[in-house]
Amino acid sequence: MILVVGSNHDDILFFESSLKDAHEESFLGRYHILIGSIGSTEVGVIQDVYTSFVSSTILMHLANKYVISSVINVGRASLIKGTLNIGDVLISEQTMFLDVDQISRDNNVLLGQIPSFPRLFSSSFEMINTASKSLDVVFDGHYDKGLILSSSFFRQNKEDIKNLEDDSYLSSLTNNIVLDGEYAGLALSSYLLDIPCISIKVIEARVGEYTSLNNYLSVLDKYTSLGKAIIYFIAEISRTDVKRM
Amino acid sequence: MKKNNLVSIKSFIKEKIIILSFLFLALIVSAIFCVAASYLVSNKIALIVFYLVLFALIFILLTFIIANSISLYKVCYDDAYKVILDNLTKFAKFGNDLNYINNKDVVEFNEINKVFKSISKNYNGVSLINKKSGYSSLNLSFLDEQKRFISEDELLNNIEKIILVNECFKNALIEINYELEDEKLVEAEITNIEKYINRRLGYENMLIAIKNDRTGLYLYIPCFDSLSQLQEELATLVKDISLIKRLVNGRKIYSPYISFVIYPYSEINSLKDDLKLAKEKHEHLSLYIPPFKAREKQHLLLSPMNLNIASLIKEDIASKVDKKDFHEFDEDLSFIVNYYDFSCAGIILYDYDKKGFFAKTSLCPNSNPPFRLNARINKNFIAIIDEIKDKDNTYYFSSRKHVNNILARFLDEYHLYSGLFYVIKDNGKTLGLIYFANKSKELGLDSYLVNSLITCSVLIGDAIKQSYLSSLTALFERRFSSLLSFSNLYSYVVDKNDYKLLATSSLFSSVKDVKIGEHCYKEIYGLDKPCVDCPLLLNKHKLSKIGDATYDNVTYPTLNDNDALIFLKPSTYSLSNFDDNTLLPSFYCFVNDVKKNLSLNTNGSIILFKIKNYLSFVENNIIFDKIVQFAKAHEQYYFYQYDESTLALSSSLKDENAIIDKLEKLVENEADFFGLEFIYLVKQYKGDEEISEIIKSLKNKLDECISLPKNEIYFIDTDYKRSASKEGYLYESIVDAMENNNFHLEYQMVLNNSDRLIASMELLLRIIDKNTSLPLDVYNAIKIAKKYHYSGKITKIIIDYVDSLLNKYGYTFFMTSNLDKLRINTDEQYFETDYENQLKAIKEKHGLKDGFIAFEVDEETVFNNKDLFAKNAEKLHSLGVSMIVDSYKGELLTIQEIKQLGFEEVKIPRSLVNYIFDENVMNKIASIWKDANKYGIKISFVGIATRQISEAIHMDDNDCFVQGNYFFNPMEEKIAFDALKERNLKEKEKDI
Repeated sequence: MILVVGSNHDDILFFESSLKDAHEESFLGRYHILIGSIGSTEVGVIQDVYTSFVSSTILMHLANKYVISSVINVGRASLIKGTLNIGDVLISEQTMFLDVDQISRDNNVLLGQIPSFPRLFSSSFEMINTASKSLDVVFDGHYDKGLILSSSFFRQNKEDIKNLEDDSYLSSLTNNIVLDGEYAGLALSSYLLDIPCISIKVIEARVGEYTSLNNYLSVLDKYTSLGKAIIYFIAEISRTDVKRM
Repeated sequence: MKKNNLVSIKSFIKEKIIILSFLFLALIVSAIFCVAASYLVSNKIALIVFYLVLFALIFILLTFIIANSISLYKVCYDDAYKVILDNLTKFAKFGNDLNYINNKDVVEFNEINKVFKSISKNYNGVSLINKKSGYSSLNLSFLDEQKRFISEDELLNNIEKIILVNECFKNALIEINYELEDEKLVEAEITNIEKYINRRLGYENMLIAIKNDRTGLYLYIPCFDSLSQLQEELATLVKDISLIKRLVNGRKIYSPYISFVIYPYSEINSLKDDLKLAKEKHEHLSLYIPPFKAREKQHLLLSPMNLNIASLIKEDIASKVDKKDFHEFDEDLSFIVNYYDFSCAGIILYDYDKKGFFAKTSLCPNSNPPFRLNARINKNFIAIIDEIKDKDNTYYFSSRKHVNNILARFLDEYHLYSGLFYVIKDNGKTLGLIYFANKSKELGLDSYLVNSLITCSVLIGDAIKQSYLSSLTALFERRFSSLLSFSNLYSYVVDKNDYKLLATSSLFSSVKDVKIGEHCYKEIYGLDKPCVDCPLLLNKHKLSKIGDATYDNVTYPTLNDNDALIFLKPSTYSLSNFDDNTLLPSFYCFVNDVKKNLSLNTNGSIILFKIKNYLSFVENNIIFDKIVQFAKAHEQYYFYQYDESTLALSSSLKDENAIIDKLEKLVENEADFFGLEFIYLVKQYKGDEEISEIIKSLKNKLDECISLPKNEIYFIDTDYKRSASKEGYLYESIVDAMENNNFHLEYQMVLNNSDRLIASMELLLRIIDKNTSLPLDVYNAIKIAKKYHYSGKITKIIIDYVDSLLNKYGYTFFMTSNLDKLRINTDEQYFETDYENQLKAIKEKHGLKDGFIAFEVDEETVFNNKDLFAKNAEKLHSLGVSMIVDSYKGELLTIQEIKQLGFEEVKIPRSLVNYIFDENVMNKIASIWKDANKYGIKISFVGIATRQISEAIHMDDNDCFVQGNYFFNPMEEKIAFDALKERNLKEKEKDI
């Protein structure tokens, strides 16, 4: 089963409407997964995943219950640094926890790194390539790749992330750095479970700037075409059988 | 057993148990004796006696048990249980007339009675919020078994009852609309939307109605706390309830348009119309609150209001407002804390020394206070409350879930769950905060109690502000005195009333032995009476000598109005250039400056500001104060003190109109004149004139001009006079033009959009300013005429003019030219005149067909005079007059209301038409047009300036009127009538 994870209902609206023979199953008392098929692939769609704590826990639980072949995280992100505009699409190359600081525990531990884990979790290389091809079909190259920083803290204040904009190490990795709430948690569990995962996000705002309803509507406009692209992507990874790295 | 002659139930039962135990023991002993006797006693009689004694004992025991059980039953069940149950039932139904337990002999019952009494007393006059009551009393019919949805009709037809049953101060009616084209909402989508509504909003007693055309939902929310918070929640909801539909050309996401209105800001009867106006904004989240004027005529709340409790608290606090120590407010705060059962309350105030907010009092009877006494409070917390508070400076949140996101973080930090904040403001500056809060429970207060609490907060806040500011003043004054005593300047503070010295700088003591408390003239200047040139008397300039040096005495106000601080400043300038009294450049200075101009052969003008009401200020000795104030307020002008009652301006302006313009601008803000009334004398001079001649000519006219009205400009060379007030001048001009027939009309053609023939003509009033020979600003002139109640007369005169026009051309000309209407702009004042006779006369005289004379009234005027137009609609109809709403933007009136008021046409103004290519404007216009077609109202478009705009205005039936420069400019009479013939008659001939 390919797992599609989103936060708001609108994030997964397109996939919900694409599922055939869908049925809903509840788990952990408060979450619901909608399981159906897209083409010949079994897909599970889950929403209301806020923060990396939840995303990590949910993936661990679902991986015990179902056979999950890959994880696709969808939704919105805020731009910290880069050339992207509101409504642009970004594929995650890597992700890092923003709220983790275990430096004083161990000299070898870096900021954002959980001890004994890598600092940056990479998305599956094959998935990035396949996703790029699928997105090319719809967006004709008008999307970008970058680093996703995940924070459980709702960062509206630009001062909070000022140091990240200037971080030369992060800047050396990519031009685009964005902020989301849940992808690092998924990446952590995927790392432990050895499940390929990827995040494809639409830019809703710049960090520190007011997010207007209009921004959201321009994101929503993108959701239909992005939905289509991700459906191609799902068909593609099913066909080429990219299951494990 | 007895306590103050009362019985305690506990001891009563104990007593009975002891007696029963004795009797039971006696019974057992007797039984043993009986058994033993039956073996030992052979005498049958003796045995019988034993048995009889035994039975007697059993009988007594049973009787006693029954009697006591009955007594206990009566006491516990009849006396106590029934009354308690009855009272609890009443309390559950929000009643407060509780009964008391009749048995007054039992201690416990008296204690229970005391509690009942306190409940009755405390809740007398309070209506508790009926949270769980729902709508059972209304018998609403739900569409589903789970009672989730009702129909649109059920909600909108019963909205008044629904609002009243909730008895809340703020209720929201929300429309969630999807522009689904031909699609409809399906069951699953409605259920999904309902799920998110409940998740994101979570208000109790919400009602959800499905729209009849199934393109959306209505939502009714009773009792919400903060408007900004509701908006925030709805903005979040927008992100969850988008829909996706499969169309022929693929899938499409529809995001909702949420429009909402609030009762009581909108009247109950207007909720639907106001919702429509909100919807017309065509934004994803739009709120419509009608202008305040619409609300002043009706009562805000229809249900009875009972603020007895507020009055009680108010009296209690009002009697203690003059407190100086903030801790003295503790008593008032704890009164409120106890009454409303808050967990904590306190006052946070700004400390000027430490530059921050600090908790000045902190009451928290049963736990740790959220803000420790004297602890520094995060200024962002105060700033956020200041930002999100309502207009009455309060922020009320009945529970944590009804809190703005921006504040929620702080509330979690301080562990506050519900409460009220009141921001203490002074001149826009935040002085502090009063808070009442609960740490772990919701606040179930009804609207009236909330308002009582707000009233109390305002009272305490005002009292705190008063004492805070006075203590601040005292502090500053103390510091000021200390500073003064160490300063290196000669300075002293005197009481303005009795010239007694209040403080001096230490420098004085080195020169003179000055005693504080003695008169300043005696101690400093060695005189017996106040100095003749005392600066306190006439703001006069005074020179002092201390030692060998000369000083100018400069007066400054202190924090206390009764005192004045006098600095002795080393004298540095020549006095002759400045007026002694006002320190403005003096007459000599003025003469010198004009002389300089003349010597350079420059043209220019002199404007003298003669103070007309000079004498009234001289009597009070404040004329110089006033002049100084005036000059300060107009620092951009360089005034000279011409004489005691005249100021002068030297200007390079030569042109009469430019001078008038300058003075008009000055007079525009008459509030800065500080009561001074001026007459403006203007002398224009040329470079070759002699200064002495100029001064002489001014001198002659200065005395004469005093009889002129205030604000009059008098050009002494041309003898031309007019008002400097633009408003006064415009009014005079329009009255003069109308009364003396000095006006003319221009004609603006209104065309059918379908065939572009001239359908009607709008009559535009034109007046030429006889002084400037330029067209007068008629638009503003009419506005001013309306202010002076003259606009009705203008319409009357224009109709007379129309009469003469009809005499001149004959009505047949208009008929054959296919001209349907003559449009006249008017307002409500015309309908206050004898309009019926005038209209009837003209109609009968020329045999005008219905609708030939049409009145255009702008939307705002119609809105403000709805009753007047509703009353006169029928009369106007019978007089054959058609009514048109001018400048209709759809912001105040719906098309349906316009129809009901008897209007037949709406004119879309230039301000919308010019932006027709903006999608929002286009949607708005389309929506108005659609409604107009539905209700049979004609529509016309004003100000069409380009071909593109003209082409953009079309609908399937194209039934509308257009006007604008693209077709015709406003024209003079002859040209207009020629154009009419040219366009309409020629077309007709072609048809023939």
